[in-house]
Amino acid sequence: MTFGAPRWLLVPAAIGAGLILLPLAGLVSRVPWAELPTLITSDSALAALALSARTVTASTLLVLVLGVPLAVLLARVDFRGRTLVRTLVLAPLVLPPVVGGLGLLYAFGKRGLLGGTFEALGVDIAFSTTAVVLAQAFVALPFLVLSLEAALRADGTRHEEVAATLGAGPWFTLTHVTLRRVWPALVSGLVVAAARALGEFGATLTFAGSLEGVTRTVPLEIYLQREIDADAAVALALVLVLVSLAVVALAYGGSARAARRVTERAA
Amino acid sequence: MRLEVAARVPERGVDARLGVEPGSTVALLGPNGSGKSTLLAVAAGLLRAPDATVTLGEERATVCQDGRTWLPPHRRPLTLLTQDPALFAGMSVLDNVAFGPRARGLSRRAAREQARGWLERVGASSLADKPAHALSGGQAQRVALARALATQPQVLLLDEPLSALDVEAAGAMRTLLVDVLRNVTAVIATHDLLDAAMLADDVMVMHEGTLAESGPRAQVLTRPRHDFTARLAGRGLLRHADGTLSAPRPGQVRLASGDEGLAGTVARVEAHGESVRLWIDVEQGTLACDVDPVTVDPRLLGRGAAVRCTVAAGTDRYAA
Repeated sequence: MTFGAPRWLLVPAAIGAGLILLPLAGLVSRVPWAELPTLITSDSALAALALSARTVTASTLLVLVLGVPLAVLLARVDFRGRTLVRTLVLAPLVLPPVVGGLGLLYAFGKRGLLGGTFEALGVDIAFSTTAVVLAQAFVALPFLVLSLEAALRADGTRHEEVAATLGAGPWFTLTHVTLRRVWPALVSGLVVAAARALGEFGATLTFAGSLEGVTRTVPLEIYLQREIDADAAVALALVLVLVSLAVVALAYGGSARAARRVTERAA
Repeated sequence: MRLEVAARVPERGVDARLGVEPGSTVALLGPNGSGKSTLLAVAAGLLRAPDATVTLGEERATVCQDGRTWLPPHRRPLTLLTQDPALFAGMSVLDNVAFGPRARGLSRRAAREQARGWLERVGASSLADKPAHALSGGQAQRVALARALATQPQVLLLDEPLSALDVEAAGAMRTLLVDVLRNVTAVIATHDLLDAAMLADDVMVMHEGTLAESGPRAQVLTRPRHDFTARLAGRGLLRHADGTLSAPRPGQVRLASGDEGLAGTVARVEAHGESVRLWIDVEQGTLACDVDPVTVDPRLLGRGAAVRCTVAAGTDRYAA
């Protein structure tokens, strides 16, 4: 093996990896393996798992439906205030989730900006499962937009122009040329968004509360159980860690393979 | 179908018009940066110039663009092939060629059926099932041509289609184009005399964003009126006292000794196969002369060298 970097980088790099791996190891060391099946099949755990599965599916779909158009517009349409929109769309990445949750409450809650509208329609969003989905989509959307927009910009418009001269309209070009070319970025962006939605805690708690079976997702259940039954919390945490790692491995493995294919193609 | 393009694009220094008769091929001849690609991009609708007119047909013409009308590129019945084949990666060659028919709404099956026909037309049937990224440059350009033809354009625009290919692939592609462009209305932008000579019925010479001269191929290439046309055609150009012009071929010019012939200075020296072509500025214009680099006095091969040359008697003279 050739060493393509200064050797001393190994030290901080190992410490960095340790910073991430040690807490995971700590978690695993506390897993009550014997009671694990009972703990993760308790009523409250199952309710939380089922709710998380449902809400993450819904919020990931929402991110797909809203994020793809947003990324395409930001990458392809030159409009005034584009930089501002791009900056604001990325705000959930840097905001503390609790702040995001407050914002959601004051936008869609009963006394929020759109509260009157929703009340007239007979819908109350705050502290409902819908609120969980909105909170997850809020924090997850930037991950898809960021990844997809960068890929669209890097890819350029050459193939879209060719498609247009071949008679393909904008929709056909978008679906058959543009999105096919940025497919790896779309998939990895979506998977990371799903992982972020799965781990969402602060915005959910603030905007949706913690009602078993309705708004208490796995992270909220873990936080709650931590006070009552630490073993149950650790067991659920293990499930969350495994699912998240699987998802991230899928995303990065997939996009790395796709990137390799693209490189081979170019060579 | 007759194509008319008139465009003024001040930011690119282009102000020119272009016309093609139905069924004929026009070569837009000029060096890089002379505005050929800009004109074709305006025609295809890839460049929206505020001051441009593009029409197709005679009386009830399809207006692609004028002061009020703007047809986006995908609604224009013409297509553009450039030097970059830009095949769609991740699709088979067959599906690349089927792209246009698919975009027009044909079923996958019908589009592939047509695509096979077009691949056969360009002699690339054997590539049908290969992935697009596995092709060589020459193969890819062949497939790109089939993909363009499959849209059955009223006018085929070709922007330097051969300039990214190696000599062998370019030659094969040029031979294919001779066959394909027969009876097709086409415009081919090129800086290569050979493309114009083999493919075009008419030649339009572009220079610094404007149309310098145009006419039937033989007339423009053998009786050039501008120095740069003569240069592209590989000829000298002399302006005679009686107002006529002559454009001697290099083979009609010899270096002379003593005080014979015309006095001039060497302006450019180019390698041309086994010989060296000297471009010589003389009082009446420019002459090109091929010399053998091994036998000629090496001092004559430098820029600025003073030489004398004679032009063969009987060189064609024509009105300016």
